[in-house]
Amino acid sequence: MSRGTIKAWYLVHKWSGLIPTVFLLMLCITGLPLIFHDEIDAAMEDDTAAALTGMPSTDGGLPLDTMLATALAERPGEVPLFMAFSPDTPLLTVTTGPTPDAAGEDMSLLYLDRATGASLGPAPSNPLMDFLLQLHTDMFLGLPGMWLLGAMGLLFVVALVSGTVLYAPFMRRLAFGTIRSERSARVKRLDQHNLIGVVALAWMAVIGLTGAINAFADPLTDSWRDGEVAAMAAAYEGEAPLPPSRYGSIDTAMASAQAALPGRDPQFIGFPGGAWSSGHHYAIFFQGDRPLTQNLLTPALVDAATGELTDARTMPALNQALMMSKPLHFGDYGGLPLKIVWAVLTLATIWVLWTGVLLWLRRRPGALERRIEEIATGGYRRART
Amino acid sequence: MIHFSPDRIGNARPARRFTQRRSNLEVFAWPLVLGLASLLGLVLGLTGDGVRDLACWALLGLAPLVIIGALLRHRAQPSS
Repeated sequence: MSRGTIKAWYLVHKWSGLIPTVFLLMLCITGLPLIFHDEIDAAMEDDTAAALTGMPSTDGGLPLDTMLATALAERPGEVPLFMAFSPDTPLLTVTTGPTPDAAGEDMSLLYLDRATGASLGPAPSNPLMDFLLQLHTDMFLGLPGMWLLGAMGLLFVVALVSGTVLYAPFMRRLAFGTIRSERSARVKRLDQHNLIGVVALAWMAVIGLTGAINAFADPLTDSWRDGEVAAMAAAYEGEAPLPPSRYGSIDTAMASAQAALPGRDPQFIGFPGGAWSSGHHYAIFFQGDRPLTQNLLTPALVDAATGELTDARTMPALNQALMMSKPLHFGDYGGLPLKIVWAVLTLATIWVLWTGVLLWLRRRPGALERRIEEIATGGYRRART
Repeated sequence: MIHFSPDRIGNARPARRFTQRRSNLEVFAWPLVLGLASLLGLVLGLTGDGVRDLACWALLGLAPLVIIGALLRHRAQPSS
């Protein structure tokens, strides 16, 4: 690789790394406790939801119409927005709001036990974890904040690619795993940066990419609703949205949907007029029926007034990528050992970012050529001059 | 071909240094193995429970083990 090529990649690596570093450090630090969200929640609250026993709410229990009536009785004057199922416990959640298109901050989440029909009251909230999650998602800046963090995630991926390119000339004569602690602090730092960076590379790339995809979740969902859902519900075009007073039986709707998609477990229902449905349908989202596809949802649109199936179609590739991105980013799909691996790799990422900052701060002045030389020779040239 | 002498600056255990330039394949052999193991682990964990979870922990756990091992090894080596 010529010095000119190294210089170009070095400049790409320097700026794609330095610009997002502050944000990435914040994301790593807030992300660490978020990995253990479930464990922290369980330790800090009385965990009624996890203690429920009985048939999982995906499989059955009391009629859904009965459960919804119980929920609405707790929130008089509000309309249902979402109903979500648990594959492990009888927990059933119902989200309500003042209007069918209510904003997130106006929504209320209720916990119910589908086995007994009892309401468990509002979903417990943990102010500290909510604060960290908000900071991690949009820094309290709403959509622009999410997009900014998404862009930082993409820059991070650019830094990973350029760093990998520079790894080749640097390591030309060095054995894998070399950390030269006997030389200057700078060489040791450079070795640590390169080794930890390349070892955690795949994981960091997955986290960066899935984080960026998650950051663009809202526009992706909107485009799915405006394109695919609108096409599925084309026959209803021009009709006024169905008022909540005319919503029909959810159990009938569920039966129609399950007749079209037999053997699938429902994950949640989007009520008419919300971000996840049309103005006339219950959108019932089913999980895939095989391990590989269980995170991929297929929505069935059921006429909310009559309970008849309109259409069921898998989601477009980008939206499917979005659905796979959530578990891949959160690391919450493989039990506690996976979470510990996630945490160690997050600490490793912090170290790569921190050594990167130090390599930039503690450089000798005016010496871009010196940086290039350092990479081209594996950090040997400087000590000889 | 340029020939560098091994690094011997006041050090009893110099870092191993090749006199031959290594090919990209040699440079990236271990990173590639670890990267593929990590990705395979992620996919296995995502697509099932039980044995797949165990494989996921083992494969994805390789990267942290290598990092911890490398840091401990050089810490154990007294620098002169």
